[in-house]
Amino acid sequence: MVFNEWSLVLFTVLAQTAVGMLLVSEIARKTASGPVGAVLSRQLPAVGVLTAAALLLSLSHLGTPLHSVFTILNAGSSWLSREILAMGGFFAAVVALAVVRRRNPEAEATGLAVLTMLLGLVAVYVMSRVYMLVTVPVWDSVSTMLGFYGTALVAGSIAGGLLFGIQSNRDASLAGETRSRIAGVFILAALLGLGLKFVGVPLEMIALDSMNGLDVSGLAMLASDGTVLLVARMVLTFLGTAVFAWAAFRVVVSHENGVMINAGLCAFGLVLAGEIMGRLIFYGTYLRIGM
Amino acid sequence: MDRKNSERKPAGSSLKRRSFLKWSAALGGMTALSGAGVFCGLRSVESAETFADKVVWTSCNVNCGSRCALRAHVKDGVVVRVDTDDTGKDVYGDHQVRACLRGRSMRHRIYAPDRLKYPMKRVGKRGEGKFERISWDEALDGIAKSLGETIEKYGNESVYLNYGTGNLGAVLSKSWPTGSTPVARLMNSLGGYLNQYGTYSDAMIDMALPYTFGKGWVKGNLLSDIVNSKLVVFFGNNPAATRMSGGGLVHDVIEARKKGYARIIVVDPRYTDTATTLADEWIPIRPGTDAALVCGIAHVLISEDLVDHDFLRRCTAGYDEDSMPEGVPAGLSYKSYILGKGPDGQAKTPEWASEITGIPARRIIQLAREIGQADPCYISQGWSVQRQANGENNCRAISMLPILTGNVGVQGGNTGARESGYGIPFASFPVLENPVKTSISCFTWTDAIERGTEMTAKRDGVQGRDKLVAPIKFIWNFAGNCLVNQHSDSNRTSEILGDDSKCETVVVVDNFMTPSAKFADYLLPATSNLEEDDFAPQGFASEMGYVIFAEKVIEPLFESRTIYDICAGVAERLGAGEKFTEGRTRAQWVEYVYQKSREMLPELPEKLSDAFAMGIFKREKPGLPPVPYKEFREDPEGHPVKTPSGKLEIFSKQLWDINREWELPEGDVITALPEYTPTWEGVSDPLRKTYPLQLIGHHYKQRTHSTYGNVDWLKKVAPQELWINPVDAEIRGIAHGDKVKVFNARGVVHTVAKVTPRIMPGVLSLPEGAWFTPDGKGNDLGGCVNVLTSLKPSPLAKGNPQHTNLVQVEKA
Amino acid sequence: MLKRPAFYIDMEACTGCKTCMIACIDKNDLPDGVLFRRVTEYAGGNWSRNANGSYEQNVFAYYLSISCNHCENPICVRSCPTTAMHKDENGIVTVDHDKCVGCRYCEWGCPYSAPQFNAEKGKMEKCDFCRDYLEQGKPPACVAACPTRALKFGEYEELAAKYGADNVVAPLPDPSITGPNLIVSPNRNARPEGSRSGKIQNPEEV
Repeated sequence: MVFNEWSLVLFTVLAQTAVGMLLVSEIARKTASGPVGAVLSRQLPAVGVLTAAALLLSLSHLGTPLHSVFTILNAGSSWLSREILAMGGFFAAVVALAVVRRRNPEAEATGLAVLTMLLGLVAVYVMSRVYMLVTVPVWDSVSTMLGFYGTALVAGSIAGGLLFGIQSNRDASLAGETRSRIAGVFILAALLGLGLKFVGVPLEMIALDSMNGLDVSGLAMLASDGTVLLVARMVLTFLGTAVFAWAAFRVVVSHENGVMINAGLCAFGLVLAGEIMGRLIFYGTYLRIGM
Repeated sequence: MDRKNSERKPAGSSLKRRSFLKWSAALGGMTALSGAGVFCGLRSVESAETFADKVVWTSCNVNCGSRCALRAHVKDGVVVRVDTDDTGKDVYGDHQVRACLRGRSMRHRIYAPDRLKYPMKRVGKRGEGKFERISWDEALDGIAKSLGETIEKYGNESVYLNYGTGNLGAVLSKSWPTGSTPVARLMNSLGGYLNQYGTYSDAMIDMALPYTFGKGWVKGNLLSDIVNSKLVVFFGNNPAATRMSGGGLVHDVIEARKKGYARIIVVDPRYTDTATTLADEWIPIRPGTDAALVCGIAHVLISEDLVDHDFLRRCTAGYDEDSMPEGVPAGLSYKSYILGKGPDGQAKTPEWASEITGIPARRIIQLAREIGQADPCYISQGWSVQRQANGENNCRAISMLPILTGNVGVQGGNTGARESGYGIPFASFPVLENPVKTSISCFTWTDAIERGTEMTAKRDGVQGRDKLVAPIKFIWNFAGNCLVNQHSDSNRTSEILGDDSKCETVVVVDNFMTPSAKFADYLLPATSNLEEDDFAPQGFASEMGYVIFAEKVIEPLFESRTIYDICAGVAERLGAGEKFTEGRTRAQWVEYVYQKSREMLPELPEKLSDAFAMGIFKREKPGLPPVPYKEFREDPEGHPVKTPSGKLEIFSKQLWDINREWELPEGDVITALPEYTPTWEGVSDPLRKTYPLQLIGHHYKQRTHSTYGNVDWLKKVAPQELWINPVDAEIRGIAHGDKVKVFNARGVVHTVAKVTPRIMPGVLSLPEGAWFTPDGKGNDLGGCVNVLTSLKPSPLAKGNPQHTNLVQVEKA
Repeated sequence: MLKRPAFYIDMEACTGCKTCMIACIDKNDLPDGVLFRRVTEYAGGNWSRNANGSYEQNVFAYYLSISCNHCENPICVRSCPTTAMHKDENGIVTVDHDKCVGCRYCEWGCPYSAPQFNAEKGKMEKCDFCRDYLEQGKPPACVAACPTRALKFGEYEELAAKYGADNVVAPLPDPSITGPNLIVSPNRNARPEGSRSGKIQNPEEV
């Protein structure tokens, strides 16, 4: 294997989760249109910690980590340089936004928030492009991008939703309707993410199958050991999202709280497992043309 | 990622997936040693030119048939880089003698972790590989004592010099022919030793082909002569693997092909590296059936009247009933045999040959027409076709094609034998004369240990006596791995050797702890050829002769000594010191040989030191490639060949007599005509019900036979692997890279499968020479093909039929 | 020094002997797992059995010795995040070890497996066209080693003028991806780039 797979798997999954969490929690904050600072106050620090952890993990696959300072030198042509810059920019913006919100939990900080969200979207885009190499046809497909955004939304909204559930349980002052709205946003985002993933799957299959033209079928490759993994991974992500949607939906309809934490933890565990498995398969389908 | 997955996943044409650090285990030993001062040179990374103290010319002396120049870059007494001949402009005829991958890996050979460091004596059972360190004086005293006692008790004919080609091509330290080595000189100064004839390479052709062409080595046209040919047919001839030197035959054949117009056809069970690169067509054939193919071709040549009647009439005997010798019944001529008018009544039609050989009849007919119509046609054979239980007939049969079509003795034609080479003269190291005349086939020494005095001339091919007078009791094994590795049936051979009441003393002189070295009673570390002065005259080459002046590159490693000094030490202890040395040191013998050579090659520099500085002397072959049997062809009466009739004997009365006089084992025959004879473990042996696959063992780039078999670099770039056709692999559930075991009644070999369409279905090939690594439970883990080969010798030459094996294979 | 150094392979002469690989290993003291030059065996074809037990086949095979092709548009240089991977003033694609972070991204992309990870150093290494030999007026180690004279080197334009500019042979990738400075004289067995008729036979070795 060319990769130290685990550090890259964790880096990409955690970084995308962080971006998704940021996106969804900011949208939720807007949608709720009221004093929600108290129940969403841990979202930004969590995003920051996840991003930092992801960045640190990414160092571990380097042969000479001390040289990592040089990795931004080739932003002019290297998607990897751009990825590092984008993730770095995102992290800086998250920190800045977190500082603002720490001073004033209800601060809109719309400009900074939008900038942070944009940087997050850009970071996931750039991250996808890193893998869309012309010499790796299986990766060089829009399914890579859909998969990455899908991970961001599914894992990010479940992580964010879980955190929201924990905090809202401790805050009885939160209006039921606000609670429902925020939970609704998390559900919709998770479902959207799941949708992206499922649109991506057939595209990924097509990309794998396109390798037929080069004499070996990526599908055939997955057909033996891979199928079980592939199915298991999809089942896990689907189940996790379903559990989350069910739990959160109860919040939406009944304005209740309390159920969400255990179910949310369960959902997050399932989705994380599914996404990590999916990413391992992704790296496992690295097939390069040439010799 | 294991190889199994690598096959399934990236196996595709344009796809790959890298796998790293697979070889970490292989290099582990090397790395562990890298701290030691002597090995520090292995770690250097700078350009040698910037720091090497000197560059010294040396050579690669192994049994590949070629001989290459090396230039060793030395820093602080350590070889840090090895390159090759870089002289001149590399114009063909004055071209560079470029070493192949093996010679280029020389520094990982001489510094290999299993290098022998000091003299040792066996402790424990013979073959176990347990030794204790002793001093040189203890070793030489002990050997001299055993040798003296053996000669006294059993006579000189109980002392045997085993076949060894690990330092082939050297002059002073040569290990082969065994009768030309310092060990032979030692034994000759002590009253002699039991001789050997034949070789593990070419015993059958060496013995059989002269019955057709007359006494002596049967020459072939040079490979460079194919520039003059219209069609070239190689039967199992694979110069890309067996003559790899860039100064030798593979280069010659590529050059000639570029200049000429010959179409090249390779007949071989494998799609060899010669076939991939040079051949216009590959005709896959079942091992051991070449004679059947020739019969099928002959049937077409005769029935379509494509034979050269004039040549057959003037130059041959036994073709038809009109040219048969006296005293032989009618109906035994070649033509009768082929057309089904002989005793077997079987016409050797292309259809008949097709079933045996696996070649479609249509293709046999076409091949016959191509051969019959090409003028001239160059037909040659590699020695694999004769290393078969019916090898004597295969090699004589192939020569029938040029004989039938009159391609013998013409420019661009050939005798059907293997190609010859061009050479320049060089002096040899004198070894005195062996008073003993008794000789055995080099393949029958295990028999001579077991039942020595029962071995006779007519049953076992003993020469010089009717019967052996003593079994082998003392073995000298210098630079050879035929004790167990390159001999047949490694398990049975280990048993025979392991019994020290039979052969009482085994002395091994080598560089490494080889599988054979483990069977030593005394194990002596020899200098490698980089640690002594010597000369290396050219191996096989077509258009250029040369000699390499190989100067000592580094001081002898550890306690190693030259073979000359070892033998002198033994001679001295047995009172023959003066006779052995003639008062000369090894250095003085080097000077002696050089000055003798200057008498033959006056162009050489006056001073030896200047020759060493020059490194290599080359001479372009003048004129057209010589044509063997040209005079005979033009005037058979005036220049008869050395057969009883003076003609090429298609029917050999001598063989006819031998077949009736010799005691042959059940099933073995010696035929007067080059007939196809089915054999034990051949294509039609009923044993195929149990062991359905034929196994051969091809020459492989990783090693020269077993030499270089311990070099990590070579194992990395060319790992040991079993060739198996996808058809055979699939029905056994074997995928590329799978661990497999190959077995028959003689043993079990564990190796890795290379599933490839480049070998015929029904045939496996396990490259010969891998080091026998028994696990103590009856398995060989080294991939040594000779675990599966038989000790049963061929009928006439009593040679090694090591490509005649039936086996089964399964996933391990 | 050359301006656009290129390798030339005569497939009519390459027997797959791998001497180029050993010469390269020896010259560069390559550690385990690193090979600057690799010999790929590409083969294909099928067997079918006739009623009488004889066989028909259309088997072919050939070898390709490939190192870095010092491409005109090297994907490794494009993707390297640190600019350690660069094309120097002599057209040699080179790794600057003072910058290389060892991320191995160049290795992901290069369709010739040219950049190789040296685990001991934590950095990428690759064929440097034996720059030191070129400076001394000597050929690269692999070229000087080739027993069959199948491997040559020189200025791209000169080689192209002499041998043509073909390099679209399987399993080589589409040359338009990186613009390799590689010229190949195909032998009679050669299949075109993208062909599905054969496969790499020695994936574990290269």
